Amino acid sequence: MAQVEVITKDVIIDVLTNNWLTKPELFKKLPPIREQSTVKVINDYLDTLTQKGIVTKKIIKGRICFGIFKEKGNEPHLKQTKLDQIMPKDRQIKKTESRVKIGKTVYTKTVPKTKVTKSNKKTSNKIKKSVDNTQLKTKKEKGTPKTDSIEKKDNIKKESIKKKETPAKSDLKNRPDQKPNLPIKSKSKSESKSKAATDIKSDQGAESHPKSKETQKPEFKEKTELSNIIEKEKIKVSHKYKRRKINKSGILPTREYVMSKKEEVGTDRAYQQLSPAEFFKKNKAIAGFDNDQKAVYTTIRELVENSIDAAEAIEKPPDIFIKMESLPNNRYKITIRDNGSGVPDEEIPKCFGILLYGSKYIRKQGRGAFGFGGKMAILYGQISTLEPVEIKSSTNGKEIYYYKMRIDIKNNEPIIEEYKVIPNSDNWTGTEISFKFKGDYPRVRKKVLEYLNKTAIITPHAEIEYIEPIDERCEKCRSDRVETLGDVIYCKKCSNKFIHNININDNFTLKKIFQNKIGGIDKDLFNKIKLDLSDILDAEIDKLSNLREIYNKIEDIYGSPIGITKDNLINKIFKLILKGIKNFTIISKKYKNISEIDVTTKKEIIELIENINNLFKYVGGKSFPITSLTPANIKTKLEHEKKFLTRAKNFDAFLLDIISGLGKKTLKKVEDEYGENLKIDIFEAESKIDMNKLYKILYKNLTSGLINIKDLTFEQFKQLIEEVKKEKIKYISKLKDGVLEYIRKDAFLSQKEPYKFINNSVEKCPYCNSSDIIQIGDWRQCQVSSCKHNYLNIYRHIYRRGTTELPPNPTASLPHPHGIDADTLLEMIKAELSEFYITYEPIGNYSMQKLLRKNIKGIGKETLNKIEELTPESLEKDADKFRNVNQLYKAIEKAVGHPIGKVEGKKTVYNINNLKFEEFKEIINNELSNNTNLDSILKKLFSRLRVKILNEIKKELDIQIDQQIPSNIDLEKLYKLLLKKLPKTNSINVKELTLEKLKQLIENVKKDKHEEFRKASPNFYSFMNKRFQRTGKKTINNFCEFARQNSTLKLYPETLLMDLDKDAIVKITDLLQKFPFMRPDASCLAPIGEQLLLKGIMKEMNPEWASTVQRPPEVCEGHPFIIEMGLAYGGKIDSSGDYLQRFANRIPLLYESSMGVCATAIKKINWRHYKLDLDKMPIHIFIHIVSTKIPWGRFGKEYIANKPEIRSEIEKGIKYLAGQLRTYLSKIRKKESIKKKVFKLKIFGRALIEPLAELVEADPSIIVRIIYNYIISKRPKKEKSKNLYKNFSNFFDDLSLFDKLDLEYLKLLVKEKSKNPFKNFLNFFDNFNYINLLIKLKINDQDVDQKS
Amino acid sequence: MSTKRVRSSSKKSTVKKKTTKNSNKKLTSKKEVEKEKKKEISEESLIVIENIDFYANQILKGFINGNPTIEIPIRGKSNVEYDEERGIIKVLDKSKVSERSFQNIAHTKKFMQYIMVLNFCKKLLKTNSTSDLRDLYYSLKRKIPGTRNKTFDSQEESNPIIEDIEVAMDIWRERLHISADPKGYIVGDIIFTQKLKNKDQRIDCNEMGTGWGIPSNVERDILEIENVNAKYLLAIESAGMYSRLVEENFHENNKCILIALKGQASRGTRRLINRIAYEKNIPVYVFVDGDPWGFYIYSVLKFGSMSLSFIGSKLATPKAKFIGMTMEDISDYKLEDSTHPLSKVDIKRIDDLLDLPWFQNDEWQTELKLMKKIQKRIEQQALASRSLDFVATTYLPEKIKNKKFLP
Repeated sequence: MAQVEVITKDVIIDVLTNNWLTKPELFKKLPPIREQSTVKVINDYLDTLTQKGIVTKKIIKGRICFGIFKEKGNEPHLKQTKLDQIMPKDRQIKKTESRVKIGKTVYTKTVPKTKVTKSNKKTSNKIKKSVDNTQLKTKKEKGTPKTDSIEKKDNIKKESIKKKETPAKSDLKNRPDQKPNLPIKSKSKSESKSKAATDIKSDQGAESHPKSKETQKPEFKEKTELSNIIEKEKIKVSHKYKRRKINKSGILPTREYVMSKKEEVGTDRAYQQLSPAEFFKKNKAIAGFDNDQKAVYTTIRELVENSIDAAEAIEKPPDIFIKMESLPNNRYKITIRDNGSGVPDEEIPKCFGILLYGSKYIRKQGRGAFGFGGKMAILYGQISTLEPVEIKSSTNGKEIYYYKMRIDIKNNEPIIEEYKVIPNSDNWTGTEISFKFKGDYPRVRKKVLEYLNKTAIITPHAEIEYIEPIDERCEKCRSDRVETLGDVIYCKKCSNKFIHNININDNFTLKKIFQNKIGGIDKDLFNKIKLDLSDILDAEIDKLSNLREIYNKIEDIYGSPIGITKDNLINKIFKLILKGIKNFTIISKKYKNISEIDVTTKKEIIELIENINNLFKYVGGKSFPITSLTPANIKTKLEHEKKFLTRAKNFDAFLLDIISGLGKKTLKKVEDEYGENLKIDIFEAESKIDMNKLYKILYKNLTSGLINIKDLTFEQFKQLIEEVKKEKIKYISKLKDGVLEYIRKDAFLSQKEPYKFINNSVEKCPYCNSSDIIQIGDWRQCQVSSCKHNYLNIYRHIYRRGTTELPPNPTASLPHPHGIDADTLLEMIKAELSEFYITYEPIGNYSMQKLLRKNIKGIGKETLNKIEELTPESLEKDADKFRNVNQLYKAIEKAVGHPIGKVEGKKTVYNINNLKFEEFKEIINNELSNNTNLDSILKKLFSRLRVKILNEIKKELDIQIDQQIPSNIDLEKLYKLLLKKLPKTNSINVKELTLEKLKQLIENVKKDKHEEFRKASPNFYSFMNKRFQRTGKKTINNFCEFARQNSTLKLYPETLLMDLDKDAIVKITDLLQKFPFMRPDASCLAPIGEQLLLKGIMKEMNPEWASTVQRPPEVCEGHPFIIEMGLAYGGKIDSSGDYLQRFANRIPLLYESSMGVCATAIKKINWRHYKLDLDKMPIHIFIHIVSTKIPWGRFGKEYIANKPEIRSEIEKGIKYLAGQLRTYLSKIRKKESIKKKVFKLKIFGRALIEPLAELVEADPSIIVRIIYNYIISKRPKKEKSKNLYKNFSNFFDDLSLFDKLDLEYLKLLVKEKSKNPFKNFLNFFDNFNYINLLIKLKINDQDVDQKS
Repeated sequence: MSTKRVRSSSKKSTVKKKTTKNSNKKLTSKKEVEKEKKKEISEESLIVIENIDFYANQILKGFINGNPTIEIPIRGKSNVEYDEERGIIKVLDKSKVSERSFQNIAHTKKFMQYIMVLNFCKKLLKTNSTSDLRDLYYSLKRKIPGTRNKTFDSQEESNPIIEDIEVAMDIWRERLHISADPKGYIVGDIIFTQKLKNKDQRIDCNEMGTGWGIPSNVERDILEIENVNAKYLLAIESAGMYSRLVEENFHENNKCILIALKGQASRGTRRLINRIAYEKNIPVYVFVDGDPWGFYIYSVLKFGSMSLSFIGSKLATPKAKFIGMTMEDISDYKLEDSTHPLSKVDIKRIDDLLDLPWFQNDEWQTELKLMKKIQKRIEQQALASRSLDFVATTYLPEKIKNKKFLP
C-alpha cells in the first residue's frame, strides 16, 4: 500500500477548497504533520477518498501525492512549484545535490565507452600507476578512484583534455532524468556536507548542471586561461582535502564505498592480506590489551609515553593532562593533552589512523619504537565501543585542527568523519586525543597510580595532572559493597568510612532531570534522548548554555510539539478538521453537487468551521499544566467556557478539562483541602469560589508530581534547571558540613593527629589559590580564613615537576657491528648500492664525437660535421649506445671522401701499443735493411715519437747521436722503451679504420665505462665506514684479515660491495659478531643523569636520604647501555611492599618485579655487609637502564633478561650506593644512641634527685645542680653550647626546685662567660654551696684537695 | 617600664623571704621529729645507717667527679666455690666486684633504683619500722614525671636490688628492716621466745595447732630457741604432705619437729633449720618430691644458694640428709602407676644438677642418672596411692629406722 510521506496543509486545502469549502484562509497556518498516528489516519482516510474518487493519487517526482486537481493540463507545473514550497528545506538541498551526483556517477561509469576517453584512459592509467606508487603506503583513494586520477590528469594536461571532455560530459549528462531510480540517497548522504564533495562539485562547477551547461559551453573556451588558473587552485585545494576525505556515513559503509572497494580488492576471498590493524585487532595481547584491566593501564601508559616524547622532541618540559571519565557499562573516556610538537594537519589522519606509521623509526633511544602503542589504544577503543577518536592538534599555536575519525581496520587506513579548524586562543601547541574504551579501572587503579608516580620519578621535568574516573566504590578496597550513611559512605567489606562527592556532578545533570523530574518518558524515548543528547546529557548543569536549543531538540526527539505551544494547539485543531472531513464524507455520500446540499447541513458545516475558528482564538487549548495557569487565567478561561458552552457543565468538570495531570483522585484531595464541593454549576463558580485559594491548593498538589514531557514548556524547563542548580548548591554546602563533622569525629575516634600537612606549596586551593592547605585523608581544607573551603582530592593527582632542566636529547647514531643480523646487513648493503646507483654520474665523456676525434686520425671538424649530417643519430650520443655502427662507418667513409680500411698492405705508421714484439722485430729488421738511420726509421714508423723522447731512448740505449747505424741494437730493450715512452693512444688513421676496428673501439668504451663504474662503486671499507660506528680503516683491515683467517671468505677492504653474494653476507655477519670491535658510542643514549634522577626521587618519594649513581656505558649484544641507579632511605618511604623500582628507557616497569636482572642482582648482594635489611628497613632501589635495544625477558616488555654484563653493572652500582647508605646510617645511629643516652640519663637523673637528696640529707637544689652538671657533661658537644640555657631552664622548670634568684644569677653567669659555661657553673656552685655540702657529706680534707 | 620592673622585683623578693622562712620552719620541725625517732633507734641500726650514708656519699662523690658508680661483689658461678670441708657453697673472692655505672645505659635505671631502695631502707631504719619486699616495691613504684617510664616495672626488679645491697654492705636484709615474705610452718616440741617491739612472747609450737608460721627474721636478737625435745627435724617440701603428717600426729608419735618448706625454702626457714640443727644438735632429714626441682630444694637447704653464698654459713645446713623420694622408692614401694613422665625442662635441669660440684658423689650421680634413664618423676603425694597413712606409718619410720638416706 502506498504510504504518504508527507501530508501537507496544501493537500488538505486542496481537498477542502476545491470541492466544498468556502473559507480556505483558515488553514493556511497549518504545519506539516509528523505524528505517526495522524499520518496513518490520514493515509487510511486518503485511501478511502481515492477509492471513492474524491481525491486522486499522483506520483510527482517519485513522491506520492494526493490531491484534487482542477485541470489536468496545468498539473505538473503547478504541482511542482507547490512541492518545492512544501518540502522541508534540507530535502530541497538533497535534491539538488543528487542531481549533481547523477551526472557524476554516470560519467565515471561510461568513461571506457567513449572514444575520447580511451586516450584518457591510457594516460590516466600511467598516472594511476604513479599515484599508486606514491600513495600506496599512505592512503588509498576512497569512493571514486577513477575520477581522482582523471582530475590529476586534468591538472597535468589541462586544456586539451578538458576541451575533449566537455562534449562527452554533456552527452552523458543529458540523460540524468531518465535514470531517476539510481541509488542517490545513500551516496548523497554520505558526502553531502563534506568539503570534498563540495569541492568536486565546484570543480566541475556550473557545467555539471544540465541546463546551464549548454549555454556555458561556448564561453568556456574563451575563458580557458583564467579558468585554468582557478581550476588549478581548486584542484590543489581538493587534493589537500582529499587526503582527509571525510566520510560522514558513520560506521556502516556506503554502497558506493563497497562497490569501489570491490573493484580494487577483487572478489576472490580465498587469499587475503591481513592489514596490520586487523592483525593487532586479533592479537590484542601482543600490544598489552589482554583484558579490561590491562587495557586501561596500557592505554594510559602508551599515551603518556607518546606525550612525553612529543614534548621532549621539541625540548620543552612536558606538561601532560590526563582525564578519565567513567561511562556506563565499564566504558571510560580518556582525554590526554600534551604541550608537545603537535602533528601537522595533513599527517594527523595517517599518524593516528594507520598502524606502523610514524616518526619513530630512527636508531636512537626512545620510549617507543614502532609507534603503534598509542594507535593500538585508539584501535582498542574503537573495537570495544565503536566510537570514533577525536584528535586536536596544533603545531604553530595559531589554529587547532580537529579530526573525528576512526580506523578502517580491514585496510589499515583512517576514515575521517569530521574535520574542522578551530581558532587557537591560548597559543597552545600539542596534541589532544580523546576516545572511549572498555576497561576495568578500579582493579587497575593502583597500578596506574604507581605507573604515574614512577614516571614522575624518572621524568622529573614533566608535570602530570591526572584526574581519575569517579565511581561509587570503596576507596580503600575498591569493593562496591558500600552503604551511605548520611554523608559518610561505609564500606561493608573493609569497614572503612569515607566521604565521597561522587554524585555532585552525577546527580545534577540533564540526564537526572529526565529521569527524575520529567514524567512520561518511556524506554524508547529515553534511549532516543540518550543517543541524540549524548554530549550534554552528562554535562554539569551549570555549564549548559542555550537552553532554548536543548528544548527544541527535546521537542524534536519527542516527535510532536510539547508544552502548550501554538503548534500543539494547532495540532489539536487539525484533529478537529479531520473530524470535519469525516462529516464531509458522510455528506458527500449523500450529495454529489453543492447545490444538492440542504440548508441545515450547510449550516452544520459552517458551524464546524466557526468552531475551529474559535479554537484558534482560544489560546489555551484544552488542558494545561497548572504552572502555565494563573488564577486570572482560569477566570478568563471560565468565561470563555461559558460563552461557548454547549451543554450544562460543572466547575469540577471544567477543571478536569482545563488542567492537565489533574485526575479525579487529586481533585478529591483538592476538594478536601479546599473544604467545599466543587460540583457547582459553572455559572455560579465565579461568585462562590475563592480562585486564589483554590489555585494555591491545586498548585501545591500538582507541582509535587512529575511534569509530563508532553506538557513541558520552555519556561518550565528553564525552571527545572534552575531548581536543580539550587539543589546542587544546597547539596554541596551540606556536604561541606558533613566533611567537617567527619573530620571532627574521625579525629576524636582515632585519637590520631587528624591533620597532615601537605608538602610545602605542592598543592593549591582551587578557590583562593593559596598553598596554605591541610590534608585530612583525601580531603583538603584551605586554611585561609576568608576561604576555608573543604574539597576532595581523591580523584586529582598532580605530579609536579621538580626541575625545568631537560635531560640531553640523544643523537641518532650509527649501529655498532655487533648488533647486526644478516637481513639488516643485506638491507643496508642494498640501500648503499641503490644510493650509489642513483647518485652515480660517470666522470668521463664518452660521446661518439669524442671517440672519433681522439682515436681516429685524420678526422677534423669538417669531416665530423659531414658525418653528423650523414648519420641519423647524433654524434653527441654516448658511444656505447650508438645503434647503427654500420651506417656510421659508411658515413665516415663518405665524409672522408675515399674508401678506408683497405690500405692494410701499405701500412707505414704503427701504433706501438698494437704491436707485438715479434711484429716489431720484423718491421724494424725490414726497415733496417732499407735504411741506415735509426732516427728516421723510428720517426717514420711511430708518428708520435718526438725528438726529445728519441734522444732519451738513445741515451738509454747507449747510442751516440751522431752514430747513424748502431751495430747491435737491443731490440727488446728498444721495444720496451718505446712502449714506456710513447704516448699511449689507440688512435688509428682513418685510412686504416675498418668496421671491426670501429666496433672494437666502441667495445673499449664500454669496458672503460664499466670499469670506472666499478671503481666508483662502494667497497667493503667505504660501506662499513659509512654505515657503522667504530669502523676505521685499521679495524676494517684487521677485520678483513680476521675474516680471511677464520673463514674461506676472501674479503679485502677493497672488495666491491656488488660482488658480495648471499653466503658472503651471512658469513660476514657471523664474523662481525666475533670480531672484537671497540665499544659502541653511547652518545645515542639519553640517561637522565644523576642530578635529575635524584630530583625525581626526592620529589616523589620524599626520602630522608637518597643518592644516585650513573655507571659508565657498557655493551650488551652490540648495543650500548648505561645504568643509572638510586637508593633512597627513610622519610616517606615505607618498609613494606616492593622495594625495587625499575625503569627502562625512562619507562617504568611494573609487572614481574621478581624476575629479571634487577632482582637477581639484588639477591646476589650481601646486604648484611652493609648493615641493611631490605625487608625491614625503609629502602627503595631505583634502577634505570638505558639502551638502544633493551634485552627484554619476554615479549611484553615487563622485565629485563638476565644478562651478565648488565647484572655486574647493577651490582657495582648497588654496592657503591649501599656503602654510602651505610656510612650515613652509622652516623645517624651514633647520633641517635647519644641522644638516647642523654635522654635516659636525664629522666633517671631527675627521678634520682629526690631520693638522693633525702639520702644524703642535702638541699635538693644542690643535688639538682650536681646532677644537671653531670648530665651536661655527658651531652654531645654541639648541643651543649647551643642549647645550654634552654635545656637548663627546662630541666629545672619541670622540677620547680630551683628558686628564681639562683636561676637569674646563673643566666648572668652564662651570659658573662659564655665561652665555657660549664666552668662558670662549677665556679658558681663552688662559691655558694660546695663547701657546705662537703661538710655535710663528711668528706675528708684530702678529698677536698683532690677535688680542687 | 622601669617602674614595672621595680615592682616585680620587690614582689619577688618578698615572696622569697616568705618561702625561705617557711622552709626553715619545716626543716626545723622535721629535724625535731627525726631526733625524737633517733632516740629509739637501736645502736645496730645506727651502724647500718652510717653504712648507708657512706655508700650514699660515695655515690654523690661519683656524681661530682663525673662517674657515679656502685660496687657490688660478684656472686655468679664464676665467683662461687663448693667448700667440701664445710659442705657449703662459699664465695671465692669477696673483693671481686662488678661496677655499676650511671653512665652505662644498661645500668642507669638500676642505679636510680638502688638509690631509691637505699633511701627507703634508711627511712625504715630511722623510723625503726620494718617492711617487706612487696611493701617496698609498691611504696617506691611511681611514674617518672615527664615520661612514660616507671621507677619499677615489677617486683622482680626490686627484689634483686635488696639482695645487692645486702651483699654490698654485708648486712642481712632483716637488719635493713626489710623482711622476706614469711613462708613455712613449724610444729613439734619446741619453744621460742620472740622479741617484739614492746614485749617478748613465748611460742610453744606444740600449742599452735597445725603449726607456727616461721617469720622472716629469726636472728637471735629477735628469736631465741628456749627448749627442744625432739629426735630429729623433718623438713617437708609440700604443705599438703606436712598437714597430712600433722593430722596423723606424726610429730608426737615420733618425737620430731616438722617443718613445711612450701616449695623453695624461705630464708627465715633455712636460717631456723640451721639454728635448730646446730644450736640444739638435732639431725635434719629432708623429704621432697622425687624430681630435679625437689632435689634442688634439698641442695639449697643443705649447701646454700649461689646468690646468697656470702652468708652461706648462716643459711646452709650441711648435715641435712635426703630421705625421699628416690627413684628406688618407685620399685621398692611399687609406685610405678603414680609416676609422671619427665618434661624437656626437667631433663635439662637434671643435666644442670649433674654438673654441680656438690652433687659429685656416687649416690647422687647414680640417682640422677637413673632418673634420666627411666624418665620418670614422683611426687610425695604418690605414696597416698598405697593408703593415706602409709607415709606416716610405714614409709618414713622405715626409712629413718633403716637409715636409708642419700647424702
